[in-house]
Amino acid sequence: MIFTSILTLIVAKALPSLNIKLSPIYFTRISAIIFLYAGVLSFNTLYIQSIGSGIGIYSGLFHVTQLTQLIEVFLLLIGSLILIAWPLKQNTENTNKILNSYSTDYSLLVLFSTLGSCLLISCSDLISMYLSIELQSFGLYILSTLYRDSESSTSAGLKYFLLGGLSSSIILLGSGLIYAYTGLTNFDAIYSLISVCDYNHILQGFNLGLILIVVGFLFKIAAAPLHNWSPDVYDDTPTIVTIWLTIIPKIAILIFLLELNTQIGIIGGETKLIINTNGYAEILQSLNLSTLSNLSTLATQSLINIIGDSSINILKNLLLISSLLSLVVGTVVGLAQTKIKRLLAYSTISHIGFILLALAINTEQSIDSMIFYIIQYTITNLNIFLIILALGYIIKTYSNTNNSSSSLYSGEEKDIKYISEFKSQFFLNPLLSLSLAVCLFSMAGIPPLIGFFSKMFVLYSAVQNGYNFISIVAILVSVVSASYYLKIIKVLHTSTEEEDTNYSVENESISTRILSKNEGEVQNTILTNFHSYLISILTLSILFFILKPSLILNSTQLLSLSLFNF
Amino acid sequence: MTTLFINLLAFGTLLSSVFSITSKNPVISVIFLITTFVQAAGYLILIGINFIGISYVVIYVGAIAVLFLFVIMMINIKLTDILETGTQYTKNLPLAIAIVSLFIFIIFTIIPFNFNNVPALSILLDKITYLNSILSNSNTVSINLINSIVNNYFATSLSDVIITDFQQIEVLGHGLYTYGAVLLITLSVILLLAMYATIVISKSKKSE
Repeated sequence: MIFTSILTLIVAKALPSLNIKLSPIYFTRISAIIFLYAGVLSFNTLYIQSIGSGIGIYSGLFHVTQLTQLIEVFLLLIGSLILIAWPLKQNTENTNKILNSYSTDYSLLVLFSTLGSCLLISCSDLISMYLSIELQSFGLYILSTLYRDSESSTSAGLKYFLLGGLSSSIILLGSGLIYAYTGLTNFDAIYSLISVCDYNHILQGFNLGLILIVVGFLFKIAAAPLHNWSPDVYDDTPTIVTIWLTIIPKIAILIFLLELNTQIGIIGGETKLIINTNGYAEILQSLNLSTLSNLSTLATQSLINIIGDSSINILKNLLLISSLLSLVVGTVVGLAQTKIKRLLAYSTISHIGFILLALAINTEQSIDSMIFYIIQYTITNLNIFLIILALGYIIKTYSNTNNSSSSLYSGEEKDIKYISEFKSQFFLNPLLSLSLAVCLFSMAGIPPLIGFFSKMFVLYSAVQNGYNFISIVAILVSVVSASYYLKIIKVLHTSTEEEDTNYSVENESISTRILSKNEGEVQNTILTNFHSYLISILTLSILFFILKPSLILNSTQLLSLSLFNF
Repeated sequence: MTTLFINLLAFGTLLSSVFSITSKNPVISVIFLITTFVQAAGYLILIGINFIGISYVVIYVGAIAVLFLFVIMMINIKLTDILETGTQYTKNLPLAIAIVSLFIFIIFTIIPFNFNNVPALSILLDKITYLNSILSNSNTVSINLINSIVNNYFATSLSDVIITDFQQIEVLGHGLYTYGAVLLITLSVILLLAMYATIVISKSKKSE
């Protein structure tokens, strides 16, 4: 399955050198189909009987379980959906060429990067972990510098490259420390070593390496204390790149962290993967005590476990601190943003906080809620970005044709940068802005929508395991974050006074024509059929999740059970 | 004698890498880069990793650094721009020192100071470890234990070296083409991506 995707990728790489004359819009379509095909192939492996507790493939360097396969299918599906979002442009030859040369590069780089994330999901060795994270993020660095004509995109790519390189080297340092202390690179061997090992110095070295690795990965998913690069990068890159940057690598890294955390957590349940109090541990412990300041509500049993043992689980505290900070930073700083993508970046940080909270709790229920949260968040985020892209195409294209300025704009100029550009879109594109409003409500966690359920599950499992303080913080923070989602919605639905009526009428007629899919009549179609169809499907699935929730919920529950009980 | 030489080489590597960052003239900085690579290669060869050391010399020094040198000589960078960036380095120096010292403190509360067994410094470092363990009231492993671990570590690695010294390339190739074949493939994909990326980024638009 993975190997097939390598092969298809190399074939796809060979294609542009063979036939340049092929219309480049096919490349995105072909690679979308490649993604779908690879997804079907990896779905097929679920039918192998012995997959139950996982199979080590490629001499144990990768470890395939049901969880990795299903997430891989999901990842590939989302990837193919993102590729659909490229515009169909047939109006002018110049823009056609430029845009489409970008689109071929985009689809190829995306294939490389997805290969890396598929490998990362299932890797079970330090070396293969490092190689696949490098493959994934290297593709992303190139992707963000793809629009090399625009200065902001280049600077974003450079920033992303430097900080990503820093985090990669932190990961490498951590892996090196683990290898220096244990002499092992295979995860299974490391788990079994530390589950029986009593030597303190080996455990200390292992813990230090683990901390460094996890910090590196938190850097890559832009969790809170290490988040500073992400709003800049997301804001400066074109939206079509940002949509990829926010979704795909985060899923892969989070699932990888999930496997690492559950395995170590299972060991920690038996033999207390601990570090005795010295130096760094003391700092962490004091933070831990301040975090769980209302320990009195805890059951005394767990209180004795935490304090009486004077030992802490490093990894859990690291994740909890990061989750708390992401929750707070993501919402509070997000309040002051005026650019739409910066705001979405901060909302991503706060959602990452929720996911990390569920990850840190590490019970069957919380893992269930975490997988569900990831799926939910991916769908909603994808839909929001698709709508922003669609609105961007519509708004910018018509303003450009109205001005009859240069039709030679690069993709970056068509992006929506500021929230104020959404002003009164409700009266121009009612359906699109309604669905955007639905998505934002879902992100804010308004009850009948899908986002509410995911937040509820995370908070439920947090409260049930006694993480009261952080769940109160999470609730407060989600209320605060609802205000900035509402701000966008308010901007969408209020009209401007100085609107040129002629322009708006024209714009409205064309946008409604697009949405009613009369493509034959419209001369320069921007949105494809499939793009609008996709938006409507995603919005409806967000809306009507409550009517049939059993499909996603059952599968996530089965996944989390399969992680723990095999 | 060998350990002294190794330490000298390691120290020289650090020093010349710092010089290569801070030197004002790009040509001189590239020359310092070359010396860094040569010293690192010598270090690697002395601790018994022959193949990697030789490939360091061949690839980095032979190909890449000399290419750098040629390119820098050709494109003729204006020295004034670089002089400005030189002053910007020192502006953030206190912050850098603070961060580095904190990081080193955190690392060395867990890893003992004499992890690398530098003989000239080990007496001093023993003292520091001892002081540190008193100050932070920690029960790090006692110094004797550390020394025994470090020495033991070196002894085992020495035996490894003796075994693998005959056929290091063979062992590498064997591991790479049987056990880690998929790693080789992944690496080749990364290399392919790197080639493709340079083409994508540097391709001029007029060629289309």
